[in-house]
Amino acid sequence: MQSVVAERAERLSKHRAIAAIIMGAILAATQTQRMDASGAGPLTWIITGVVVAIFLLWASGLFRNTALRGILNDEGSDVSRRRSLMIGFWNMLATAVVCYILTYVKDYGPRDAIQIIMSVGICSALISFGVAERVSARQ
Amino acid sequence: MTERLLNALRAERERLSLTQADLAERVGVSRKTINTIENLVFSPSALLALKIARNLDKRVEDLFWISGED
Repeated sequence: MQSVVAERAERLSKHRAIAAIIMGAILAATQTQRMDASGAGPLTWIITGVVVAIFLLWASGLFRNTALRGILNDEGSDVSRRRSLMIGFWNMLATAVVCYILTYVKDYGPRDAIQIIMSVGICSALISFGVAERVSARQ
Repeated sequence: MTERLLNALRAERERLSLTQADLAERVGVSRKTINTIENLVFSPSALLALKIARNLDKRVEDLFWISGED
């Protein structure tokens, strides 16, 4: 029989995976919407940054006890985290190349380019982490 | 040819009538980590492999081996 800590870790891990996917999707949707408007202002970026930071702190189990945090951040989760960071990094690079090419056909400022590159990187990392964790949990 | 780390984790775990959750708790990892090792999604570190082997009363080389060497 599973202990209370293991059960909580299992449950939190599932919630974390779902939350990462939802957060990535919401961020992608809101950032895409802003592309048509005047772009994200500093306040929007601060709010986005704070929300993502709070999520990452919660997801890392920082506010949980050591045993629970250890299970939440075990080797399996670490592999998912490293993979998703790598996916985010490569997607950012690819988006930067696309943004560079687009400058020949469309006029847009560096602020827009930064917004697109960062959004793609953060969203793809969050979603891929969530998906990887969900797939890992499947028997 | 790409070498892969194979294992007999599922068979040994079932031999001892342990669930993935039971073994995960003994080793101190999550159930999904045991699941991904059994499904060959990722290779555990030496530390984790040794812990798993100890908890299944097996030598690590009886539990894990490189493909093509069996």
